[in-house]
Amino acid sequence: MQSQARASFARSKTYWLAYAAVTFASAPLCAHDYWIERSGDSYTLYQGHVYSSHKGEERVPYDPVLVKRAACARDDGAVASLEFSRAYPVRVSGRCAAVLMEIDSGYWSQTFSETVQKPKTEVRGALRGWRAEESIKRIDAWDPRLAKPLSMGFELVPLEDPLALKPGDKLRVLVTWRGQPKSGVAVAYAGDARGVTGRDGEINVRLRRPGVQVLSASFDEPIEDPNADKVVRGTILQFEMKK
Amino acid sequence: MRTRIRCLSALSSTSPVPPKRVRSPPLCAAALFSAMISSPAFAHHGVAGVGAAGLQGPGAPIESATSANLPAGKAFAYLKLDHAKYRTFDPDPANPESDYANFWIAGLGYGVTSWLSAYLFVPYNSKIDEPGGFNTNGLADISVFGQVGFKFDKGLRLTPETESLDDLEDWRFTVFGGVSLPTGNPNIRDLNGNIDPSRLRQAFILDRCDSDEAIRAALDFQPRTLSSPLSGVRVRGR
Repeated sequence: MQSQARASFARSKTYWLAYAAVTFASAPLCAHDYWIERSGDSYTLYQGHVYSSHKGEERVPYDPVLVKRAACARDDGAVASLEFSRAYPVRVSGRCAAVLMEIDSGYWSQTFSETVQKPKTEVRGALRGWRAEESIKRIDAWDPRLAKPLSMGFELVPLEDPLALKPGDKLRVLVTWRGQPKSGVAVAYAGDARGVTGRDGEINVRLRRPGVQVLSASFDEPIEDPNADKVVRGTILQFEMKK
Repeated sequence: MRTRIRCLSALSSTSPVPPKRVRSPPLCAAALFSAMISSPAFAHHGVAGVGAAGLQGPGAPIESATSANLPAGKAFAYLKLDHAKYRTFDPDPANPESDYANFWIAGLGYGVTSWLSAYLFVPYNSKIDEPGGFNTNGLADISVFGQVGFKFDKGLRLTPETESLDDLEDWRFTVFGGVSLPTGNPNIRDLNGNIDPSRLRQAFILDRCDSDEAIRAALDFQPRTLSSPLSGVRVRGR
């Protein structure tokens, strides 16, 4: 009994230390929740809390000007940019195995009492400011070419067919930035931090629930900008398990 | 004196839930091999084990250690004292009995890689009698360990450098081995050059006793002070 108690304590201590470290490192992960809804060949970008781990308004309108780019990975492996209207919600059309959208949420500042979407220089009493850049990728059909990044931006790349997995399986994902593996990036599943990427930029995430899967990652780096202290980059990988 | 290589295996799970059954041939083979090479666990004094939970005190049951490796490039320092206070039965000061014993173990560990850890354990013992009795202290045998860590994740593989919280649910295996160096003095003497009278009594039994049974009893005592776990296989899973 004594040995079990000691071993259990050692294990739980390790677990909670790791959990605390990962949770601390991934604090910005729950800041934004984009998802893409599909209807035939039409893809619509929404923001809100439908797939969030934290409560909030189901759909939160966003400024369509924030969406900077949309791309489609076709069945033949080619990646093409998609045109989209500057109206909310942003909608793109195409026959795509995967759709990628890049969003520049601009400057944010934090005061003692709130977080506002303004540059630090325009907010009285701002404690800190950052610039937020995000991307979201939805996969609807698997092609081995999707095991490589679709852009030079910040991206979560599944290294195997995620659509063939079932609840309880682990998915190995690669995090890339500027087309290269990015280490030390915090990755979350359904809003729960699961760890940081290794030197190869990879991490295993266990898919625990059926249906729509949302993996997210974020990292930040300081910038020389009077309006912000750092740039926070976030990315989301969305797909639906068929099993 | 000669260098001794001691063997014992341990199989355990650190999970609070019953370990799930793994039908992997490598695991079964490793567990079977471990069971076959196990020697009797006659621990009496504190012994060094791999991991904090594996360090035993006098009279403590044999416990299994965690199968976690040290992170690469990280060091581990350890100091343990087992203080054993003995009951005495003879109030006559002319017949001093054992009063207490201190069994110190200082340990150092280093994560050579994420899957290979190295350990050094230095034991120091002091055995104190009541006033007028026989006191000794000194180094016991220094132990050197190596530990190789594996995990089962779509096959057996060496413990990787970084893992997610989900990876921590995987089954773990460690194979460890080591030697104890003959740094302890089995004929330690006190400041006056006297040898422990209890050792003399034991020699007397072996030399003079006519009964086969008594000789066997005396010999049976020896492994209890000589065995310690220095190699084997450890397992844990979710």
